[in-house]
Amino acid sequence: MYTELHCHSAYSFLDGASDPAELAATAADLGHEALALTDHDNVCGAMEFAHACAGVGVRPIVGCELTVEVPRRRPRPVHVTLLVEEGRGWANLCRLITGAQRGPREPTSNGLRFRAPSRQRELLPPSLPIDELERHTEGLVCLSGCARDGAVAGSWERGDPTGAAYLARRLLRAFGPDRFRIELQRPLWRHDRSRNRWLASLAERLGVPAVATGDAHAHHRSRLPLQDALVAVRLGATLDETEGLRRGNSASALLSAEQAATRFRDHPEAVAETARLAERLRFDLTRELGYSYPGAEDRGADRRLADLCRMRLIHRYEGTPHCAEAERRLEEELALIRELRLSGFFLLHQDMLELAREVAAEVRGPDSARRLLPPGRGRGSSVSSLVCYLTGLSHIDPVKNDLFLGRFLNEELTEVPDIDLDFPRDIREKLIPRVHERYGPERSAPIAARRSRSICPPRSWKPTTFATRSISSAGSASALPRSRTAPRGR
Amino acid sequence: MGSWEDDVRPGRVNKPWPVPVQVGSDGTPQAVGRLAVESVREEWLVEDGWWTQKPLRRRYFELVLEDGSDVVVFCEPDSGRWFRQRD
Repeated sequence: MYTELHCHSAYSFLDGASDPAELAATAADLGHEALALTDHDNVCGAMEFAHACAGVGVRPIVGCELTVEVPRRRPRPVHVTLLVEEGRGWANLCRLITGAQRGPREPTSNGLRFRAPSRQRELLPPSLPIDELERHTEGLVCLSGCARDGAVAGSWERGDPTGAAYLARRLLRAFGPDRFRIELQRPLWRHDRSRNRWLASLAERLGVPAVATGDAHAHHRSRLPLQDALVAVRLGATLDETEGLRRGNSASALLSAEQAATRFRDHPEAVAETARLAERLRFDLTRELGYSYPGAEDRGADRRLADLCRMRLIHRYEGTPHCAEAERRLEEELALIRELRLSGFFLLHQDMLELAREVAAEVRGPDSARRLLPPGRGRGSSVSSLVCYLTGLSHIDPVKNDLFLGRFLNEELTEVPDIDLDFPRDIREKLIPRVHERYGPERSAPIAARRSRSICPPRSWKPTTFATRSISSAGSASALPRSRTAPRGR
Repeated sequence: MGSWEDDVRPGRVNKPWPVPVQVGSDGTPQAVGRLAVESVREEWLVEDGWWTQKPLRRRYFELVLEDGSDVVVFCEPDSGRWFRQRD
């Protein structure tokens, strides 16, 4: 029995060539009971992965390959593989990733963090001091890292077995013998057997089990040329120039249990340990996140939302031909919202809109023509909701326009409905800190959305620009002249 | 697919040469020439250059032979031919 405990998706951003859904589906085809996702320094794909796994009957294990800095004469970032065992571990993992992403980067005047001063304004890769990792180990299982850059195996590869053993002891002290494993990998590189022999003997000396991992970077070998190209794009070099930095063969596709047993035939106990360890890693991101919207626990929310809507319904519809239909529809919608326990969710959005109204009044002043502009406006499917219309979140009358509610809100809803609120530029600068002030820093945060898993294009790019740049990047990696990959006309 | 043997550039060093290898059922070398294999020290796979006219695919073995010598041989899976290479 083999469970893959070290696997990268496209969310490793230019170091993984498959979607979480592809990995989950292939794991199911290969007969795996569970699969871990361990992207580089983030958990961006974790929720998508957890849902994809649930859909195909594979148990998802979430984790990440974290980059840590070890203070030595020549500090070099090394990797450790972290796997979540319980809810506390998820919290710690998120804390560690936040620290790694914030890390040693220098802030600049525009708020972004860049290596400074630098002509190229290059963003530093994430990393975290090892002592920070040692402070947040609860609920996490630590594997000693990959063959090339791992804290232990990587140090051995670089000719530093003393440093490798030192790091292994340090990690063992931090995580304890139950939650630390020496990681054996077999990427079919030159020194695999010597390295694994040494690592297995180190594990024996330390009194901890060794565990085999495949360091998968794709769900199928046919995707590995793409992996090569992504690495070349990430490094800004050609495929030829990146020879020693790519995987170098097709061994990094997801393994079946039979393939793993063959590949690790010198270490059958390390293969068996994957299943034993996976059995313990039962944290379910889809069920145990424990997050509820502010107000969900508020028993008075149902009544307050109903009162607000009924009062505004009279104001909006009394005396119109749509009044009876609006009353019927409102009661139906309120009942559905009560059943889904979302009254607090709607009140939260309405509260935020009222906050924006206050800020708009301050920013624009009583005499400005802009005072008449709305402080924010909902869009998308939320315009089909009468509750959204009455609470000011939408400006479209769904009764008059006969809009169908089901796309926005229905009894089978498994996620919270999507309410997009757009706030005008002139109030954002004041509104954002005011939101943090009102809801508290532990319950509000700015987020950024990546529009692609490989390259994040600026908003100003047209859809075709992204395709053009992707082709151009792939062309550069293949050392093709620019004239071959440039657009041929409009 | 072209072979590395087609490379006729002058002055090439460390050029592999063909060698007779007996293999076991799992594809692992049992003997190189007349010398039996004592142990397999390493085994690795090189697959590269897929974007070129001459993609490379070699399964390498580092072997200790019965006379105590350490040799590196590789097989080209597509042709099934074996070569020895100076380490």
